[in-house]
Amino acid sequence: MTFNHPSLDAVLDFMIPADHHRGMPGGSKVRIADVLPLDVTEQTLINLALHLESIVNAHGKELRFLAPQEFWGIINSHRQVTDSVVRELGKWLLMAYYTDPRVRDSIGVGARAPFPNGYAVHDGDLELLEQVFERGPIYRKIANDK
Amino acid sequence: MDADVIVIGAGAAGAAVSWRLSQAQLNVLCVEQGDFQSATSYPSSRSTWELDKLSSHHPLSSVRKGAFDYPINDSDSPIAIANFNAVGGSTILYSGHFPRFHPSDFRARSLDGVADDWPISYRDLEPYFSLNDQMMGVSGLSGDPAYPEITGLLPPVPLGFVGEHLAKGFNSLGWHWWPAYAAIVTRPIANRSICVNLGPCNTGCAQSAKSSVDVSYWPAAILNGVTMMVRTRARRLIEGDDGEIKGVEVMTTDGKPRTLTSSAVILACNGVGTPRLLLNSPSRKSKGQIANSSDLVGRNLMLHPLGYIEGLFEEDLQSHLGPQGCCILSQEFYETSTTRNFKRGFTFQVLRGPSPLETALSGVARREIDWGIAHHDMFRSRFGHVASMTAIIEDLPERHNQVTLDFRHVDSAGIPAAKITYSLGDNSRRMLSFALQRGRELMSAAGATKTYAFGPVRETGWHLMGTTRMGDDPSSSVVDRNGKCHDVPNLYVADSSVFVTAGAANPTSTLQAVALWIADGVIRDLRGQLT
Repeated sequence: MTFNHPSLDAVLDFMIPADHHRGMPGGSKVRIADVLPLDVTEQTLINLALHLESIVNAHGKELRFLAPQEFWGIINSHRQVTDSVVRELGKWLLMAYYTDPRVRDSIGVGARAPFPNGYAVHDGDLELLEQVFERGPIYRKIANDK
Repeated sequence: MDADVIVIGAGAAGAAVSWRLSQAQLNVLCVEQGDFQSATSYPSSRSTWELDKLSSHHPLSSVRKGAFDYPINDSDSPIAIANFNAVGGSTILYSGHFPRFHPSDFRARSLDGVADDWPISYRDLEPYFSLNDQMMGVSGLSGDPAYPEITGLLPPVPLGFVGEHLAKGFNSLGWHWWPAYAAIVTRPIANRSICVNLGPCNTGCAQSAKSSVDVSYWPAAILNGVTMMVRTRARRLIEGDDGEIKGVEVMTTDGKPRTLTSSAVILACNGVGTPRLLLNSPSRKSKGQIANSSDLVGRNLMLHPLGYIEGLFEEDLQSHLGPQGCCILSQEFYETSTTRNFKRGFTFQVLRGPSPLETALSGVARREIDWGIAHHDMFRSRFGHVASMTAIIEDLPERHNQVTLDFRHVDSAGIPAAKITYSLGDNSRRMLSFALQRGRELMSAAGATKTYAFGPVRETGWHLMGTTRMGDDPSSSVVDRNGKCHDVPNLYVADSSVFVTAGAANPTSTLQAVALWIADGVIRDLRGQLT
């Protein structure tokens, strides 16, 4: 499921904005709750987003009125405290985002499981081995190997 | 008696040795702490397979926390121990990269003045390598100048654009490369399905085209009458008054202890599990533990430190496609050269490239992919465009690298955990540094616009070797050339614990050839006793 918390949704969309031209959803539109382990709750993520929001607010700004560049300008100017928050939130976002069927379709791997159809892979040109073969043995032969 | 022979462990070695013994009509009971796996339950049968790779099918038991796993304390090692506990063992999750050791690997002391010679040779093992290839189903290409002739291989797995690109790079440098030896079925054999390039072989093969031993050896062994006792942990070996093993105390998952008896016992629990069991087995005869009068049980642990190298290419190499881990290999630097500042050598194993989620996670972590508006373009410039490769470094046996017991942690049967103490020796460090430089050179020669390399990689301790080494001298080895413990006439070790050196190749092919060799010794020993 997706979340419906304005601060968290705003932060997730700043992290991965929608790309409608490519059919890529924004970060707030993927099912992060599905990838969370038992010890990480929705509230954990909301708290992380609120922490970032508090830094934005300390600059006299409001999250909902910020342009993306402005948001990242503020967050990156406080890297000592924001890096770990962005990293933690980002981990769960990436896990949900890159397993989302719309995203996988858009990047060309398809929304399906690899099994049973698999994928076509270029065989490659084995004639490239000619010069390797012509060089002759490169392993050490062992004298008196019984 | 419960059986002629009890084999402990149903992984690569346990499967090979059980099958060989069953061919000789011996009554075999195999004890395995894990369970049978269902191919259709593997992650690649789900579109979210990448999430399972980070959890239920993670290589580290400490992350996976499976019901059949056991704790391993590897906090004193830069390399974490990877394994999988099931019928099939770690072959369930291995990539199936299947090169053999070289003839020189068995003569490191004579040739290079380091480590020790094995008491057996490549020539001794040659028929067992061939037999094992037949049983497992191995693809590749004959004529490789890095080896004595290898025949009977199935056609190689596809190179893909990534393999072809790197092959041109190797050629431009005049370096050796060859299509991977892969335990992957590319033509129909023994009712097995052929590879259709699912991709993530290292999460289990839903197609059963990868030659894990649950689909290669075990069906034949079970047909021969081998009895499997799964979800059962071996707790300790019980020594009789005559110094022989008189039983194996096991614990089933329902918590019921039981003692199993047989004429002979074979340990096949890998380079960590085997010494753990021996160290948990008290002896009046040896120095505290069974088979340990040499004080070498658990010592000389070798792990193959891995270097990771990648290159970023402008061309779309579709590097996420194809069997991950099996593409091409290079053994240009396998043999010792007097021009280098280290002895022995390494293999380059081309992996192909990262999956979508791996691309995103590693790209963001390394600040190659930004958050925000640029995220999508930066992802697309990397996904499918990254070629990745490992350098498998031969580490030398060193006494202080060892497996001991950690009594603060126990498994579900109350058995103390394994504790790993390991550090890279100077030779390994020099070799790793050289390999990372050569790896970047290769990527550049192949046309990479950016290269990246680091090592040792932590979560890669799959190759567990050397902890009950083989030798003719009981004071400097644990088992003899036939895998029989010097101290205990009816106890054998058949896994990669018996390796004297680590070679620079993924060990499964060699450890299975050794297991078949050891099985034939057990058959010779038991034929005399049982008739």
